Amino acid sequence: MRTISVDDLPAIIAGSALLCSAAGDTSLDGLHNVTAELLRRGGPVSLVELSSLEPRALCAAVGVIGGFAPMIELPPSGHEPELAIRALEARLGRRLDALVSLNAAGPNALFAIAAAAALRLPLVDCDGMGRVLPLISQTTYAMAGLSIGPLSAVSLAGDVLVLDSDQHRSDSLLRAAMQAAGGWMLCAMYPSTARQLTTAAILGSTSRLLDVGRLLTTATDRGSLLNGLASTVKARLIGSGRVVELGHATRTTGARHYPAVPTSVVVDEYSGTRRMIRLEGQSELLLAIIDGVVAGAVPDVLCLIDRHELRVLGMESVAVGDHVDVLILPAAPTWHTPEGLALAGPRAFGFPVRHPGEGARR
Amino acid sequence: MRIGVRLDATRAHGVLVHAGRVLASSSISKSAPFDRQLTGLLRQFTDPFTQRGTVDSVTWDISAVLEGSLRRAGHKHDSTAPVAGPVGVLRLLPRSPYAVGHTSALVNSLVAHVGTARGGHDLFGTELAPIDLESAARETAKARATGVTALAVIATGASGQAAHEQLVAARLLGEYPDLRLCLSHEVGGLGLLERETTTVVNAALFDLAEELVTRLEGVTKALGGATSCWFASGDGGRVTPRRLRTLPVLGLSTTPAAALLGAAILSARTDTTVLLTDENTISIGHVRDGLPHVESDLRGTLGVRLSTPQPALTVRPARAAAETAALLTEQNPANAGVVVPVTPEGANLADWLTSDPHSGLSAVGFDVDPSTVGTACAEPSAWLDLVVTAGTQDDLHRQQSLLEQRALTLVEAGGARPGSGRVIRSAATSLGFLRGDVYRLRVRASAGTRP
Repeated sequence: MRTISVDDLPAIIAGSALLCSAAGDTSLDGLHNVTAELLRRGGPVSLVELSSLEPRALCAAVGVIGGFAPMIELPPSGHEPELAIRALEARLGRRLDALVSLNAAGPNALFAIAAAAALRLPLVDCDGMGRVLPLISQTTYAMAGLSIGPLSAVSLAGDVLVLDSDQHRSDSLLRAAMQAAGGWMLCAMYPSTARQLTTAAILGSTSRLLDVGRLLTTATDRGSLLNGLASTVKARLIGSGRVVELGHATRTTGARHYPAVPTSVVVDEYSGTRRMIRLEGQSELLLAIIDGVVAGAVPDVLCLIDRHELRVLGMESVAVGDHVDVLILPAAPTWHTPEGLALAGPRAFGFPVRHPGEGARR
Repeated sequence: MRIGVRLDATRAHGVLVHAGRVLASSSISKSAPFDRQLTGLLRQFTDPFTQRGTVDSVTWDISAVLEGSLRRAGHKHDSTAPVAGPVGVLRLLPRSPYAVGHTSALVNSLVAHVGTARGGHDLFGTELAPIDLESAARETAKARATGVTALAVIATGASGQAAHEQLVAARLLGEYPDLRLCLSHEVGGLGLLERETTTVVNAALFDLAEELVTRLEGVTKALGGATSCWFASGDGGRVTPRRLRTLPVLGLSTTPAAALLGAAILSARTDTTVLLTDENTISIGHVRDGLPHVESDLRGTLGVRLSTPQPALTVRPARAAAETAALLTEQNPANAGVVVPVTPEGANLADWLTSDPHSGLSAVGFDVDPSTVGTACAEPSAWLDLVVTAGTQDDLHRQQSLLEQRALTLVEAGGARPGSGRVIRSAATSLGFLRGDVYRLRVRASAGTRP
């Protein structure tokens, strides 16, 4: 059994940035400080294998719905995890035995650890996304048929909600409440047993995050970082260049129900063919197009690395003139199934294209 | 003609510049009476050149003195510097945080008391909790009991809705007329923690800034009434003495910003990468459209994240020089960057970096302090950072235009010639995972003329 202590936080923070192209290394110092404080008070968190739990052990996924900016403006006070978990337990009439991450990526990687420390519960080494996706219903948990509710949510002012609804309505109802509550809410959701999670969760997500984070925090040069990411998470460099254009509201087709406006980033490659890499996103980077050909697509993770600082550039901080490496990290295999691509592939975001992997399988 | 002077712990370094050309430079040791010595330094520049014209301005870079006083409060380094702070902190939040103290040792060293009262707004301007003025007054009384004369007031959401900070200020100034307040919306920016740090640092520097600004205004007056007095700011611009008295935090991190600007002027390049070298490190920055590239929320030289803009620098160890040069050459073989030694010991590293004629790296600033050149040539500037909601693209453009106009107005109010302002950067960033109409607007403006 591994544990997560305050000493592991720098690696957790760095790893979570790589898997979240929306935030990148946006400063979430308030969240980091609260997580550190909870770990100091509650002691290290036990990171356990799903198989080590009793099949009937009750778990719930912890994660935030909302934006980073409100979280920066008013960081968590540290009381939210306990309020959310106790509200869910009261609704279920039973104590939880362990917590799982909604997604071990971005700020939610920290929230799950903070909650486990605050409640002194073990954290299972798994999640339901393996990356960041905009909707709390875009999970392998939902894909496997787990119910998102009942769920509880706590606002930044301390309001507590308990919600019983289906996947789709939970997301839209909660999003409306989140907006009214100030921009983010911490949720406890997908209450399920360890047995149910066996076929629903992406295993080893937090360990992967730690491995990637250690690489990011120790790499001293670009070559060793890129090689390390290739061997650790099969990351692939698709190009390097200068950001020459940023834009909003690029046209897409299909449903526009995601909580962000589309954004595009254009990278001009330095040498050789001088190709233009066009990246399309809605909060997260979702699509990479090189000379009209789809080079990478959601659910795989696309990210930008600052070539000099060796840090992840988020969509909210990338600027024209930045020099970047563009990387693709393959998503968990379950996302590459037809059901996975239907839920979180490029067409689910309104892009009328196939995921590159779809062609390869034909 | 313009003069730029940089004060560090032991010396004053000055330069006389006209039309982007260095006419003279000099450096003096700090010894009593220092004000008289500084007057001598200025006269040393002006006397041989008075036939050619008058000195329009003297701009002072005092960041080393300000940073030294902050570090001394934290019991680090520079024991000769005056001590900053201490200050009281009043947070206006909808609920108390789990941990009361700040995580930065530097900030903690500046703070004598932290109190919390209910209040604050969300990012969209909605009240999260009604303001509790009685509680605010009680916490302020506790802070006063520790002997502080300055109070930092930080309400969540204050950058977009400052009403609670203003209500508290009105109440407290009625009770404590001698209390100096720094309200977080005055320093601006997104992020409670970042604004708290910036507000605390600002309040801690009130007394020192007052004393320094008054003295240096007096030194500048020795050149006659036609010469105006300015202070360098961390965004590569300059501010009036009055503004620095109110917002001394603007006087931090000015030296690297001025060095980037100085490198651009000395190399006559308006868009370039700049490598500032000392004995052990290479700090990579950028000049865009003739001005140093700056960002808010950076840790900077003090190691704490400030909401005010500072130069965006990547610091690499000297042993990474070859890899750094190769990356820069790959990025732009024709103009990989301008190398500027910022200390005498940095000249060797600068020499090494520019020794390969095919690297695209060129050197300037071996015979003159580039930061003093940048200080002399700095112009009034403004930086605005706001979160807005905009239902349509037209609405977004309208709000962005209004913010640009506000920034230009601030530039003129800061002493620029009417009509000389230009918008350097105006960016609207969609904020992730919120409803699709929330944007962060960042606008930077500066006076457009060069000396």
